[in-house]
Amino acid sequence: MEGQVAAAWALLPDYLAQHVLLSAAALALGVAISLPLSVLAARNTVVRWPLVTLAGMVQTIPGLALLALFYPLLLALSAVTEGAFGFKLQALGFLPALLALTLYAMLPILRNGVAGLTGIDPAVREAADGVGMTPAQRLLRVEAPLAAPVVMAGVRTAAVWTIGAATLSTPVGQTSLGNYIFSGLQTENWVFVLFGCAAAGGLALIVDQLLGLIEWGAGRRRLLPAAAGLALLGLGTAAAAVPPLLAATAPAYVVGAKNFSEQYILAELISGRLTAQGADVARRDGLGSAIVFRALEAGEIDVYVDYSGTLWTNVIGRKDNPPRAQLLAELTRWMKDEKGVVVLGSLGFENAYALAMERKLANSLGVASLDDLTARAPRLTLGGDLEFLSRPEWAAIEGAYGLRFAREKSFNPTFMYRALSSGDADVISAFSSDGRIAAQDLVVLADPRGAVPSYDAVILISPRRAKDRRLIEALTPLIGAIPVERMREANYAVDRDEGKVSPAEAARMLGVGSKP
Amino acid sequence: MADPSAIDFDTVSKAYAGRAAVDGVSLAIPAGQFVAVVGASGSGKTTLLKMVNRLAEPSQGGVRIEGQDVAAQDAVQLRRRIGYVFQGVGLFPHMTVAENIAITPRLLGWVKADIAARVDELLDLVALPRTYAERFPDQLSGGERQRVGVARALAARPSILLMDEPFGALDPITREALGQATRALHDQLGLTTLMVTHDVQEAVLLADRIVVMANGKVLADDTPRALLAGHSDPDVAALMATPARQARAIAALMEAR
Ligand SMILES: Nc1ncnc2c1ncn2[C@@H]1O[C@H](COP(=O)(O)OP(=O)(O)OP(=O)(O)O)[C@@H](O)[C@H]1O
Ligand SMILES: [Mg+2]
Repeated sequence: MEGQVAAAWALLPDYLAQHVLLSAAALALGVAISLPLSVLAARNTVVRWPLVTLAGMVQTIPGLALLALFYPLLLALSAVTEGAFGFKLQALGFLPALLALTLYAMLPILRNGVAGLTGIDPAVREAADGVGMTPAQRLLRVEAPLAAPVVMAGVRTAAVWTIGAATLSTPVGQTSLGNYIFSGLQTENWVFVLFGCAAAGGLALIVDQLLGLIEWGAGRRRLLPAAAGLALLGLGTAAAAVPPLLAATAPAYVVGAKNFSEQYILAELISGRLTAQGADVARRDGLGSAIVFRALEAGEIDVYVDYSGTLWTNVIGRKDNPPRAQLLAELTRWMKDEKGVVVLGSLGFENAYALAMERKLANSLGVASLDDLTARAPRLTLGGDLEFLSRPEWAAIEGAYGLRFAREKSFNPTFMYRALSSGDADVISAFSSDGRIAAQDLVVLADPRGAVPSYDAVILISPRRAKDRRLIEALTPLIGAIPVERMREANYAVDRDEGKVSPAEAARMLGVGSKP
Repeated sequence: MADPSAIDFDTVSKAYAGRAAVDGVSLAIPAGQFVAVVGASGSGKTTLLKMVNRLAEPSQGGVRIEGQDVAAQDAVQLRRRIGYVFQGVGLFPHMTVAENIAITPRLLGWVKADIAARVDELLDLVALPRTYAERFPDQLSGGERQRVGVARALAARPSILLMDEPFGALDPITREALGQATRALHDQLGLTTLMVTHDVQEAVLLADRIVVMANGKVLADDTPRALLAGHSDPDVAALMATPARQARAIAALMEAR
C-alpha cells in the first residue's frame, strides 16, 4: 500500500505535466475556435441551429470512442499529407488527443457564447448603435463584456470536462493522469485508480477556482485577483511545459504496451533491458490492441510484444490455422516482406484465447472440451473481455463448435474473472498465461478441432528500427527465455488482491534480469 | 432656394411587416427650433426619431440633414454628431456613469483631459453630484438614470438633439427644472431639438412648435399658442385642451375649500 502510494507519487510530475499541457492546449484551442463561432451563430440564425446541434452531437459520442476515432482519421490524413507535402502527421499521442478534446471543449463555450450574446437587452444594443459605435466596437465594448459572465461559465464547464476527458487519452498513446486509472484498473491497483481520479479531480477543481477568480475580479474590476488568477494559470501551464520540452530533445526508444498486466510487465522487461544499455526509453502504455500494431508500422512506437495468432487473424486476415511452428515462420516472413516489421522471435510461452470455467461447474455439467460445451451453452452465460466477442477467434470457435450461449456479456478483464465467482458468467474468455487460471482453479476447455490458432508471445520491432543493432542485441536474449509457468506467476503477482507487486517488480520475477 | 432646414422629412414612410408605423410625413424643421412631438402610444413618434439617425431606414421617402440625404451618409459618423436620448434610457450597465457619458467623445478620439472636464460639466448641467461619476447604472434611481441619458446625448456637443420621452421617470419638480435647463441649453448652444413627450403641458411650455401624430400621420403642426386656441380636428382640440382643463379643475378644487 505505502509502496503503491510512493510509486504513484513518483509518476506524478510526468503524468500531471502532460495532463496539464494537453488540457490547456485543448481548452485554448476550443476557446479560440468557439468564441468567433458564437459571434457568428448569435448574429446569423441560419447557422446557429446546425452549429449548436453539431457541437451537441459531438458531446454524445463517448469520450473514449471520440479519442480512438481520431487515430484512424489522422492515419488516413497522414497518408494524404505525406503524398502531397512530404510530411507525416502524428497519428498517436498528443495530436489525436488534442483534436478530440478540443471538439469536446467546444460545446459549452459555443452554447454559452450564443446564450450570452443573444441574451443582451436589445435596447442596450440599440443604444450602442445610437451613440455611434461601429459593429466591431459594439462587439468589443458592449456585447463582449455583457456576455462575459455567461461565456466564462461555459469556459469553466469546458475546462472541467476537458481535464476529466483528458484521462481517456491514455489508449491513444498520450500520457495523462489517465495512465494511473488505466493501468490501475488492469492490475487491480486501486491505489493507482484512486490516485488518478483524485489528481484529475483536484486539478479540475483548482483550474475551475482560478477561472472563477478571474471572472470575479474582471466582473468587479478588481485587477489584482483577475491578474493573479491569470498569472497562476499561465505559470502552471508553463511549468508543465518545461519537462516534456526538455525530454523532447532526446530521441528515445518508444516501448508500447496494450492494456493488460502481462503487457505492462513485458514492456517493463524490455524497457529495463534498454535502459541498462544506457538507452533513453519512452513508454506508450495502455494502447488499444487495434491501434498498437499500426503505431508500430508507422514508427510511432519501436517495439512491443504481440501474439502470433492475433497478428495472423487480425493483421494478415488469415482464416486457416496451421501448426504452431509453421504459423510463426509464415508470420515472420509475411511481416518482413509486407510490412518491414521484424518478428524477433517468441518469448517462449503462449497466451492463447481459451474458454475457461470453474472446476465445480465444469465437473457437474461434465464439460471438459469445447465439444462438450455445445449442448450446454444455451443455458449458460459467456463473459468475454472487452474485445473478445468481436474478434475473429470467437467467430472461429463459435462456428467450429456451433456454440449458442443464453447470454453474452463483455467485461473489463479484471471483472471478468470476478464474474465467474459471482455467477454473472459461467464461461469466460481466459488467457492461457493468466495466473488467475491456477489461482481460481479454473478448467481450460480443450480445443479438439483446432479452431483457435497458436498465440506465441513475440517481440515486434518497427520498420525504422529493423536494422538497429543495439535494440536487437539488447532484446535477443529474451527469446525463448520465459516459460509459461513463470509468466503466469508474474501475472498473478500483479493481478492478485493480497500482496500485489508493481509490473516492474513482476518483470524482475521473470528471472531474465535487466543485465545485458 | 432658401437655406436648407436642419432636419427635413420628405414624405417619409416606414412600414413594419406591411403595417405603416410612419405614413408619408413631411416636416421641415429649421435650425434652432425646439419641436415637441406628441401623440398616442404607437402613433409612430419613436420611429420618426430613429429615421433621423438611421436607427430605422425609411421604406419610402427620405430624411435630409442640412440638405444632405442621411441615406448617403456613413451611419456611424452621422450618429456621433446627433445626440439621442433613448425612450428606455439604454445606459450601458457595465459602464460607470462617467464612462456612459464619455462614450461618444471617446469614440471620436477626444483627449482624456477634455473628456474628464466634459463629464464634470455635464454632471453639473443635469444636476447630478460629481460623486456619482463612478457609480454604475443599477446604483441610480430611474430619474437619475434619465439624467445620465440626457448628459450622454449632449456629451459630444451635437447640433441636433433627439429626445424620446427624456423626462418620463422624473418627479414633477425635477422634471420641470430639467426641462427648463434643457430649453436654456438649447437656446444657448443653438441646438435643433426634436423631443417626444406624452405631457402636453411640457410640450406647450418648452417647445416652439408642436407636432401631433396619430396612426403614423401628422394630425396637426403649429405653435403651442395657435394649437391652444383651437383646432379643426376634435381629437387634437381635446388633447390640447388638457392643460387648461386640468388647471380649471385644480382651481375649482381650491375654491371649494
Ligand atoms: N422594430 C419594429 N418591428 C415591428 N414593428 C415595430 C417596430 N418598431 C415599432 N413598431 C410598430 O410601429 C408602430 C409605431 O411604433 P413607435 O415605437 O414609433 O410608436 P410610439 O409613438 O413611439 O409609441 P410610444 O408612445 O408607446 O413609445 C407601433 O405599432 C409598433 O408596434
Ligand atoms: Mg416611442
